[in-house]
Amino acid sequence: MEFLNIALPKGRLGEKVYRLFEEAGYGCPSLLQPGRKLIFENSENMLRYFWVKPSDVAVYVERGAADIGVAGKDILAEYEPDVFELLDLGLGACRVCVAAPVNFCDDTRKTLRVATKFCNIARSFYADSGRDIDIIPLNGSIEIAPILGLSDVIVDIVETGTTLKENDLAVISEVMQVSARLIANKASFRFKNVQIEQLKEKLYEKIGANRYDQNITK
Amino acid sequence: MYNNFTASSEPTEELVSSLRDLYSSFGYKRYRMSKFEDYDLYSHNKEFLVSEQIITFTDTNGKLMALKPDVTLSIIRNCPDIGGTSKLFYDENVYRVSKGSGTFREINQVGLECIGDVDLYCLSEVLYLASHSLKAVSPNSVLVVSHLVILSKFASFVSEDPSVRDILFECASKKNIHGVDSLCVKYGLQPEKCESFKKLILLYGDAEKVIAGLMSIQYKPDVTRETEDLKKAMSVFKKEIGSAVIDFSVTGNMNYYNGVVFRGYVEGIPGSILSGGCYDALMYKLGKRSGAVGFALYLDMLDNLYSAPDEYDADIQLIYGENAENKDVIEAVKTLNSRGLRVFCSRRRTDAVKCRSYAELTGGKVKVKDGIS
Repeated sequence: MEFLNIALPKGRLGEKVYRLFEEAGYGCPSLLQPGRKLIFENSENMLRYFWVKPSDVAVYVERGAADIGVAGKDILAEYEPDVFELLDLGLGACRVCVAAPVNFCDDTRKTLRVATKFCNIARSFYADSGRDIDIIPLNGSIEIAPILGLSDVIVDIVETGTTLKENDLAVISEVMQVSARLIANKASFRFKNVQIEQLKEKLYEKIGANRYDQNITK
Repeated sequence: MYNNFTASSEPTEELVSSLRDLYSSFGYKRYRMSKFEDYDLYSHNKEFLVSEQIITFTDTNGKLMALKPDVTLSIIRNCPDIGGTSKLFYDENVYRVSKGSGTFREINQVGLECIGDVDLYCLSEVLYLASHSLKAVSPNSVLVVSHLVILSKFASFVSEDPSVRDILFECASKKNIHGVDSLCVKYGLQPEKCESFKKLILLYGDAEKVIAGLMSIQYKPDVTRETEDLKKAMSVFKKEIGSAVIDFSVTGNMNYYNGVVFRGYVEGIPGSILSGGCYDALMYKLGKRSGAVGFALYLDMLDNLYSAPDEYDADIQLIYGENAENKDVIEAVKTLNSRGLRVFCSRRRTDAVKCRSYAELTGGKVKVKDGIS
């Protein structure tokens, strides 16, 4: 049996995801030890984990450096990698929303300026309504764009809404629901099919059909 | 002799030669094309192309031309729509945008087309040749076959709404069953029909297993004829377990493709390196009445597979010094070559060229310093 290469997103979500894998019988004890190491192996279970930047997980999987990985639906919708999306893990649930200053009134005679790091998602959302927009790509602190007059609205991830509130912004529409997805490389799925299907089944059992059904999002 | 001596001939050259022999052995005739084609042909069929961007130029007569981004369209256009069957293969360079770099690349593409009176035997033959093309690349390969009419009938069974069907096709291509659940809730679709669709897209394995799985889906549209066709087409793999599987995640644009579609994968390459299917719909779109089936193998994808680095530039560095006769050096090289060694000649020893071993030429005789005796 060959090693199954798994890309996990660094950070809080990645740790939650790893716990789920561990509970499903796919543990790698060295992985949570403090340190700067990024690659961990469990040769007994033939597993190799990588910690990678969350937005890069899909790239590692699409390019075959990892056989499977866990990525947010926002990343999958934004970059549209050619991968299988096998399971909604229900973890890291949040929303991609359009937010604007609390007193915002959309002047439809003008092009709407949209600041975001999700350019494709925003473009596709406004294309559906036919609204003319000007996308302003940003990489962080998106919330300050409307405050400083850089944009009219923002399209960004909203978890609790606290950051928006503290910056006098409010959600004006929901673009999509987001949660962590188990993804697989399309070639790896053929050559490590039994390993990947087994892992998927065990994760599915762990997250529980009931919880899973409550969290279904496209 | 060192194994890597054969590195002087490119693996892809050997592969192309073996593929030509394979296709010829089944009566396929080589089809050579010019590098250019009328731009109109592609501009009207952009969705059929892997990449919609095309390199264009204005010919001396003012006509807008394109560097070929695809071979199939040209073959169809130039193939007479007569009775009988034309079996053609090609080995051509095409020019299109690489997904990774986003820039234009020259891509070597080998493939074949069977055009005209295409029956189930022709389809089986093309599937067999596709599978054996993959095997020529690597024994660890798999041909993944799907049937678009079966997938389409299941999608229409769930919903006749084109936008819902598009999402169902997308869910199928990603094996995204939670996406189907979500769609079911969002559009108030019949859960039993959605379950059937989910069962279909989860099917994976050899023909016998998948067809049994397909038959066991209770609540489904009538796909008896298509299932029978698929079973017959896949019968050529009965004795070649693992070389071909059925998986309905392989989809295609139904404006061009109809019936069986397939992709080929090779272990060690992250994406599909072979793509093909029945494209009667494209023939019809181009004003032809015949049927057609074919595939293309993308050789540019093989770079990663054959990129095991050669540790050394040459097997032996022959240092001939200041006073050696040129003819003696050449003779020494020929002698070493006859032993299967690659020789790099240099007046003085240089570390810029990595060699396994070093030898000196003294008085017309080769004295090996280390490594090779």
